[in-house]
Parts: sequence; structure tokens; C-alpha cells
Amino acid sequence: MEAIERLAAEGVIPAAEAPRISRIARGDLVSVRLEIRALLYAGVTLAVAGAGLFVKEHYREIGPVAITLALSLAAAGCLVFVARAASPFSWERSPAPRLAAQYVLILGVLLVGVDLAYVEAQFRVLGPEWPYHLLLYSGVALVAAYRFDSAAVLSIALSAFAAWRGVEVKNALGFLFRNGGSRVRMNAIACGLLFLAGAAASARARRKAHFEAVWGNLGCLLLLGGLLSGALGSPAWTLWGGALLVAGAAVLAVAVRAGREAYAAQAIVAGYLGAMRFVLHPIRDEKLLFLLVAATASVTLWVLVRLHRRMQGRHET
Amino acid sequence: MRPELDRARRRRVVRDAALSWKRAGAIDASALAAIESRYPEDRVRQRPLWRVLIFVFAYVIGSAVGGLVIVTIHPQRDGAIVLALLFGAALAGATELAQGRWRFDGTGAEAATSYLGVTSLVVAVALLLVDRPSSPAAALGATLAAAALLFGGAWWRWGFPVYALFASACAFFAALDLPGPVRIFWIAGGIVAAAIAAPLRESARLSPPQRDGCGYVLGAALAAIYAAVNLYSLDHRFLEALRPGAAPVPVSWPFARTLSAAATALFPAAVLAAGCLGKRRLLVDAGLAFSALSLVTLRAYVSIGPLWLVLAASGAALILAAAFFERFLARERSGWTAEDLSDEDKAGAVATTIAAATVLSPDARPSPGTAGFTPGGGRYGGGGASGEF
Repeated sequence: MEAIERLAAEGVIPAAEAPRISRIARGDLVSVRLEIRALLYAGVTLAVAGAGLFVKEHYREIGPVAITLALSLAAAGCLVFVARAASPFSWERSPAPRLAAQYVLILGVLLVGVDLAYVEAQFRVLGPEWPYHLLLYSGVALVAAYRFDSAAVLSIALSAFAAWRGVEVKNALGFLFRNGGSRVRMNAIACGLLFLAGAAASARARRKAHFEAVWGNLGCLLLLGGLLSGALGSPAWTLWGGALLVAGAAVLAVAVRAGREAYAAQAIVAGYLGAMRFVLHPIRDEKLLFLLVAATASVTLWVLVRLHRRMQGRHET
Repeated sequence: MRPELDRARRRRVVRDAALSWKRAGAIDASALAAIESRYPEDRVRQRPLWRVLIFVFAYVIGSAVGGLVIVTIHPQRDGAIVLALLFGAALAGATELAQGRWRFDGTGAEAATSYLGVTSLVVAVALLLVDRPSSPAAALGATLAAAALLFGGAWWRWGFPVYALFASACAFFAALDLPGPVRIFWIAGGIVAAAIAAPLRESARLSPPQRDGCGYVLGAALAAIYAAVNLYSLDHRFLEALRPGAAPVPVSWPFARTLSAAATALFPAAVLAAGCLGKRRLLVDAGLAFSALSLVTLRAYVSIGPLWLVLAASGAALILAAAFFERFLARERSGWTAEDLSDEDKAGAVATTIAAATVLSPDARPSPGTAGFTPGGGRYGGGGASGEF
């Protein structure tokens, strides 16, 4: 409060804004925006859980057509509500709609997912090619994400795409280590590369450039996670480990140049674990093991600090 | 806390606030620059993600050095106690050096040394007490009490507010070891802690991290009171079951259940009302969380309807309530607003995106050869929204 009074007296804070800023600092004006977000998120989660449970418990009594219609109507209702509140489409960042519209969009997309899964399970429209409903779901969510400018829905679209390829994003590393057969691993790596290409395209073409972080972070997670599962769990770990170090270095170089801290962090952690696989593999002596762990972590820490300075320097200049 | 660190933290509060004023359009770039030059950063500091990485690697280094010493010396118990004390003291010294001469504040490294230092000292206390007293439960209680003191001291001296939470949690769990009614201890302790922490949270004499820590103490105290008064917790003797080595005794006081049922309903409402009237977000948040838990408790005793209906209806009710408040508070009402005043909304949006990619994302299809899948069944949803048919 003292600081605000001083800054206002010195004219640093505009006189018109000083009373409002003082009220915020005193706690006389309080925002509950985060609480509203939390309520909306909880509401969406509970509503989807309820819908899922309803389908599970009553699909025999009510019949598949009625359930499909109910889910479709609910999803359509959500999407119509969002469409009416949405601003016109733009490749730039759209003005943020009301929070309620953002979360009703998520609810609508999730209900579409439940509906598609149910239709596929009941009517077997795609037969043995049933996983394609995940691709369809991913496509619907992708369109909704771009139309309504929602990063959250884009992340659902990308994770549904990965799910179509047999890769679970919700616990990517655990999933890869549990089911890290070569096919799943290769799919994770391919999805990762595809998403990274999506990130690059978003940024370069300036088409929803602010979505780059969603594409890029999921891409890094799947690419580096896939390679790491090979480095730590495959008989041919030397090849996977080598590939991990190369990919990690490439991601790190791009991240440093572009000033993307989250990509750099993922590359450093994955690279460190991959390097540890090589360093510790031949070690049988406990003392040497602890010594090497301490030494490699020290080197990584030094690299980390240097990189951070460099990235800060690039940003500031 | 060191005076220079206290000054740096107070300056940082002003700078952070100025940045949010700039983002809200209340001041322009030149005003922000003027504020930043008047309240400069004189500490070595990293951005949040880097801070986490540095913490992790510094922690790995410290742990590996500790492990190296242990496998080299192979100490007996007394030697291990001395080692843990020396290690803890050395790391506490390193934290002092980092915050003092090196002017670290928010690098992650000093957080790692302080955390390892405190945990080493707690290990020393635990080793000292294990096998010595007649009851192992007493050793656990004394260790938790020591941990509460050490974390509390570390919070006050080094300014890591989360240590206040650790200290509070350790103190409440240490109380489980006291002879007598544990619920009364938690309620009484919670009231005392809340009564001390609530005014201190607002005190300008305390440094910002000390005030923040008081917020954690207040939150822990309210949670302890709620855990003690909740009817489900009473009926299932949750707290009593946590007592090491003691069989939970049944409720002896005849009015206990009635009082507990009333408190389960009224305590959340009282906390929420106190938050709304006093414009205290922490109390509002705690009141909302306790209200949700009380509704879950109600559902455990009263059959309101089928679970799917309860879930779907409560979800719809939450969405409608939130939408109403967003619209209602679009302009200020009695000091409350839905406007973003401190740049928190960006963090909220990022959290939603991460949750959407993880909790709300669909399960993967089974990979060929790993599961005997036959069409006709599937899984969807997440975050409690999962189901199968």
C-alpha cells in the first residue's frame, strides 16, 4: 500500500487508476475468475461422467437409438450455444469468449466423443476398422478447436489422434513403458514428429500461431517419450539411446533459438536420462555409480544454467 | 529472515503487481519501467520451469553425494545419526550461503539444499528415536513434531511458504500420537492455528513469504477442523485409525454424531460466509471445497437418486452457477468481480489445456496383439468420466 501511495504521489501510476489499484492491493476488490474456471471444469467433468454412467447403466432399457439421439442432442445443444456466442472465424487469436462458452465447448466435444464411441460400439458401423471412430473424433475436435479458437479442444483432438494410433497421452511415459512394443513406440514417435511439424507449420504460416505450444509440447512429449522408452526398455537400447540423444540435441537447438523453454526442458530431461543409460550401463560398483550420478547431474546443472542465460540473452536483445 | 531478502521480496511484490497492472492496461510501458527501476531485482532468479529443473538436478546431486558417503563409510546407527546431522547442517549452511553471499532467491538450487537439509535433520531425529522409546508410535510422533519445528523454522528463516504447509501437516499428524481424543486435539489445534495465522496473513510487518505461509497454515488448520468434524470421517474413525498401533475405539459421546452431522453441513457454509463477507479468497475456496465434500458425504448417507443423475445434475448445476456468476460479476458487485485482476487467468487456461490433453483425453485403442479386442465394447472419457459399455 505504501508503494502504491508513493507511486501515485510521484505520478508514476495514473491518477485515474490509483484508487482502483489501491482497492485491489487492500483486498477491497477481489477477482473470482479462477474459481469460476474451477467450477466450470468440475461441472464439465461431472456432467461427462454422469453421461457415461447413464449410457453404461441404461443402454439395454432405453435402447441404442434413444441414447444416441439424447447424446447427439446434448452435444449439438452445447455446440449451438458456443456457435451463437462465438466471434467470426479468424486465423489470428480471436477475442476470448466468456468462460462458460469455453467450457461448454469442451463439454460438447467430449459428448461428441462419447456419442461416437457409443455409436461405434452399438452399431459397428466401421466393423473391424472400429478405431477409425477415434480419427473421426479427432477431426471433429480439430475443426471445433480451430473454429472456436480453443487450445484445450485442440489438445483433445491431438490426444484422440494419438489414441487412434494406439498411444495414450494421458500418461504417455507410463503407457509407453507398459506397452512399449515396437509398434506402439514407432506410432508415438511418428505422432510426435507429425505434431512437431504441425507446430512449425502453425508458427511459420501464422495460422493460429498461438496453437504452436499445444502442437509442439505434445509433439516433444511423444517423440522424446517414445525414444526414451526404447533407450530404457528395448534390447536394442544403444540405437534408441543414440537416436534419443540426437533428437534431444535437435529439439534443444531449436528451442534455444526460438526461445521455447518447455521444449528445452523436455529435451534436457530426456537427454539426461538417455545419457545416463550409456554412462551407468557398464557400472557395477555402487560408489562409482553414485559418483557418476552426482557428476552427470552437476554437468547437466551447469549446462542448464548456461542455456537459460543464453535464452534470456536472446530474448532481451 | 535476512533483512536484505525481506526487502527483495517486498520489492518483488510491487514489481509483480505492476506487471499485472500493465497487462490489465492500468499503466503503460514507461510507468512499468519506472516502477521496475524504483523497485529493482537484486537477486539471482530463474524462470519457473528452469527453477523446477534446477531443483531436481540439485536434489539429485545432493542425494547422490549423500548416497556416496553412506556406501563408502557404511556407518552404524550412531554414525548415521552424526552423518545425517552433519549433512543437514552442511546443506543448511549451503542455503545460507546461497541466499546470503550469492544472493540466490528463486533459482531452485537453494530450495533443493534447504529441503535436503531439513529432511536430513528429520532423518537424524528419526534415527535417534527409533528403538529407544518403549513405543514406536511415540518415536513417530516425536519425529513428526521435530519435522514440524524444522520445516516451520526453515519457512520463517528462508522464506519458502510451502514449508509452512509441511510444518502444519506434520504438527497435526504428530498430535495423533497424544493420548486422548484426537478429534478434539485437531479441532482445538485448528482453531488456535487459524486464529493466529489469519491476522498474521494480513500483517505488513511480516515478509511476503511469511504471510503466504500463514495462508498455508490457515488452510491446513481449516482442513484439519473439517476432517475432525466430518460425519463420514467420524463414523469410519479415519483419524483414530491413523494412530499407529492403536485400535480405533467406538464413539462414546451420545451427541457426537448429531453434532458432527450439523458441523458437516454448517462448517463449510460458515467458512464460505466468512470468505464472502470478509472478501477472503482462501476462505471462499476452502468453503467451496468443503461444501463439495459435504455433498459427497450427504450422498453417502442419503440416496438422492441414481449416481449418473447425481453426477450429471451436479455437473449441470455447477456449469449454470458458474455461468451465472461470470455474467453477474462481469461488473463489480460489492467488491467482487469476474475480471482477471492479477494475470491468473493465463495460468488457468494453460491448466485447462493440460487437463484436456491428459485427464479428459480418450484411452488408446489396444495395439494389435496386446489385447484380445472384439468390437462391441469400448472405453471413453477420463478424469472420472471414464466408462465402458
